[in-house]
Amino acid sequence: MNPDQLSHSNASNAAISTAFPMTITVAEPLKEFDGTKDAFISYLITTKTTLDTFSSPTVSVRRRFQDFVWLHNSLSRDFAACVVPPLPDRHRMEYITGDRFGPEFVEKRRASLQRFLTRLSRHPTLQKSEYFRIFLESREWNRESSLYRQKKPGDGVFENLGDALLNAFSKLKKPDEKFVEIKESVDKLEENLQTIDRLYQKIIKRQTDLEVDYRDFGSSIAGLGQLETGITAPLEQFGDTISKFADAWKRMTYREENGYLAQIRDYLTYCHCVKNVLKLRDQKQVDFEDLSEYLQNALMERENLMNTGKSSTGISSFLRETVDNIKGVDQEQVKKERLQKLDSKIAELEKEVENSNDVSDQFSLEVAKEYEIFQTAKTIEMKDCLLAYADSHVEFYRQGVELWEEIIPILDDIKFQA
Amino acid sequence: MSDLEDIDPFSDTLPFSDTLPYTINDDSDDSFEKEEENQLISINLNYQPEVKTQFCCQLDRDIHQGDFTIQITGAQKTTDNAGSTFITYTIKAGEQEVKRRYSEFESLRKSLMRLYPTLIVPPIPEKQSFVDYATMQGKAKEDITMIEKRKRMLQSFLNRVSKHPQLSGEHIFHKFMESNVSWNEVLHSYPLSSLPKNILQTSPANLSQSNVSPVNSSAHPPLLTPSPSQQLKKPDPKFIESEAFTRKFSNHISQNMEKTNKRIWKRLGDFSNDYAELGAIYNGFSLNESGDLANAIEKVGQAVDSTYVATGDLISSLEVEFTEPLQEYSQFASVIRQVLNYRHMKHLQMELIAETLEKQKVALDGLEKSEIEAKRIEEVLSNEHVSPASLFQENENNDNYENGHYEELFQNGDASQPTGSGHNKKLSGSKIFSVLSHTIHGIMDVDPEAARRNSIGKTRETIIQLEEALETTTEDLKKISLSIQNDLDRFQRQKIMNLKEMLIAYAKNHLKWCKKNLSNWEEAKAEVEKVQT
Repeated sequence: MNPDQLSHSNASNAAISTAFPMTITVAEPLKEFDGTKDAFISYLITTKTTLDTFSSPTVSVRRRFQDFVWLHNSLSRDFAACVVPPLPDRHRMEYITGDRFGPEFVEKRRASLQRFLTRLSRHPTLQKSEYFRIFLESREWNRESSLYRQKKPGDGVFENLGDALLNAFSKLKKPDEKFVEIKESVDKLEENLQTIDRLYQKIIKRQTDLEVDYRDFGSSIAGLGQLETGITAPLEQFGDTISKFADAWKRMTYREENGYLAQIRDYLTYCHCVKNVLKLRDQKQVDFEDLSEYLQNALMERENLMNTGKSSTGISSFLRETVDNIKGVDQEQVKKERLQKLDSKIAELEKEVENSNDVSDQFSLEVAKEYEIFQTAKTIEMKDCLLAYADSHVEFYRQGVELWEEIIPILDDIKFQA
Repeated sequence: MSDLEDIDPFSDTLPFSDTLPYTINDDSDDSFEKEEENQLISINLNYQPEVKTQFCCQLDRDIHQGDFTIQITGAQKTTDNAGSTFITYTIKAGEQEVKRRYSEFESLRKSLMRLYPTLIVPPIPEKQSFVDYATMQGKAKEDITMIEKRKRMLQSFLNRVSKHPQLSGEHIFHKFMESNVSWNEVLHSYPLSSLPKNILQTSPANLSQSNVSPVNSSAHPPLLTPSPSQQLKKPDPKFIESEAFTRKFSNHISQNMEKTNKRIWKRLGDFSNDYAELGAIYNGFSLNESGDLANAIEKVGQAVDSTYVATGDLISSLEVEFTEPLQEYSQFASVIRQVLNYRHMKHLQMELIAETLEKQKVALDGLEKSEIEAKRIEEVLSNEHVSPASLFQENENNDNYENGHYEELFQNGDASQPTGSGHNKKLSGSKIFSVLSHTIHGIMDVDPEAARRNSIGKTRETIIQLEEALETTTEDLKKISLSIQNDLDRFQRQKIMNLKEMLIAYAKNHLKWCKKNLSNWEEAKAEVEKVQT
């Protein structure tokens, strides 16, 4: 069973509701322009939807990886407060080794792309974006997408965005409790997932070795059957049972590696995206806090000017005053001019602070909502993931029970033949 | 099994053993024992286990009662008076309970092998090899595991012996398990004290039918020891096949089956540890989540934990029910090889005796012929008319004769000097050697004629002895081959049954493991399905 088929079938069951008005499948990878240096893989995207913004309830198009990148970048640019799900890593080993058309790589990518679109489809804001609609149904792809295409320096805006925000979280004067908590919980989630990833790589190797060990043992039993001519048949069957048992190990390992582990890794990248958005939110708050500080300083300056007739104190102002006196400058006039300047600066700052506050508040609200969406998505996705995981084990042990139950009566029948 | 090389019949290379005729241990004042000894000597080859009615002791009775098992109930560290520490194993058999150490088990086994060279004596666990020490991690842990394993395997040894049709009746085996019996005493009393060092020197103790000691008495014919590298002139095809099969079997078990089995066993251990770690991770993970999802993750963690536990059980069951019996059979293969080797040597021995007998007969023939010839010459020489020359012509046809022949000729020739010296000139070069040897012999032997007569006498005696020996060994070889064949058949039956049990155990343990894990993972899956989305 395809590792993702299970999660997909669950998705289709949950689908057609208001929260999930669409189901999308990514299938039928096809190599186009095979034999030329421009060869690429295209995927068939089929959408079933109840949204009336779409031209029909079922649409199908073919898209290639580059097109997914356009979609991702456009959404990231225009919906900065949203957590846009990640795309599979572009710079994979397979590109370097030249195996980007190999069946395993293509399948992994297909599954990842499907997760990407499914997550988008569940996002209340992003699912309604025009970019998404164009991607899913446009028959005039080149024309429509180029309307929105912007040249960015270097390919892979995703990476640039990610790189730029890989800096540490900004230091806040008044950290928002709620978002501190959110960050911590995402951190913990990441940590858990990373530990599972690390340990599972070890387990995958272990199980692969175990599979080989069982096969070797099976053939040694069959070999014994060749020597002991009275029991050749039952021993051969025993060897066969073991060989099938090894096959079952192989299947489970495959499902774990290509299903469970792939999903865990994908989910880790999703967590990174959330952290990036959190960083952005913090940044907005920092902007506001910085501006507020400027405003405070300006107000204090005005205070001082009003009270002491001096816009500032200290040696430099004393010197300037003395010079002014010598020059015969009119102190009152100077004071009036300075006040005027300050007032306009203050008025400007007040406007900016208010603006920044609005932006920050608005952004925080969005991000809070995004986190809720993320949490809901997490529950759905982790459930799917764990279900497939548990199922791969159940399948393995069920096969095991069958195999071992089958061989016991055959062994029981062994009688000594002189 | 390096320990058992001492059993190697070729450890003593003397052709004739000079051990004394048997002596009864004077310390034994138990008259009951003497009675047993007589019974021992006449062990019937046509032993039918079903009809055993005579028992030598209570244990013997118990063993043949049916469902009798021997148990090793404990292992303790003991220190003796000299201050050395060792482990003693407590054996419980019927009413008897006794403590024995490993070296005593070893000597019991050696003794059985020497008393019953035609039977396949079950193996005991080997002395710890260097490799075993090297792969140990943590002394305390390894002590317990190794001791437990030894307990099991020594117990298996005792039970296998008690189920063997012939070995089960052996009284020294009963003595081994009897309370308050000093094993040292047993070793130094009959019958063990009277076995020769080289068992090839005698008929096999278990097959001798004479009422005299099976060991060398003055009446026993001397048996020659063949060289192990010699080839059989007329090998028995059935046993050649058995030898070849045993080699193949031995190789397959130790090189193939034991190795691949051990790999699985080790890898399952690693897998089990991985899962222990994984379970802890899932449990930690569930603490960071909430609601249904936390429950689901926790349940998955529990399934992982129980897989870890179940795998531990699988590993230890496989060790006891599959790996250890497999090891026994690997050792059995060596035992069979030794038994077949014993027969092979006996066969070589028989051929050697036959060959030597032939040579002696030929020699005797030659000596007798020269004796006749000498008499003839005497008679002839007493008649002066015959010329020595015609004598020579006749005798030239008999070049194979011993030098003694020519000696006689010249002796008589000397007596009649004038005629003799003239003939010396007619001698060809090839006969110069005989002239020289005559001179030498003239110096050495006072009376060559007497020497020849002596030779004839001795050769006749030797021939009689060799004929006896040939008869004995031929008879022995027949009995040995029959006994071995029977025990091989019995062993083959036992082996198939054991293999069947081992494989069933392998399958059943895996089935149990799969069933346990299946139910736990189905529970986990059900819990995950409960998650509300």
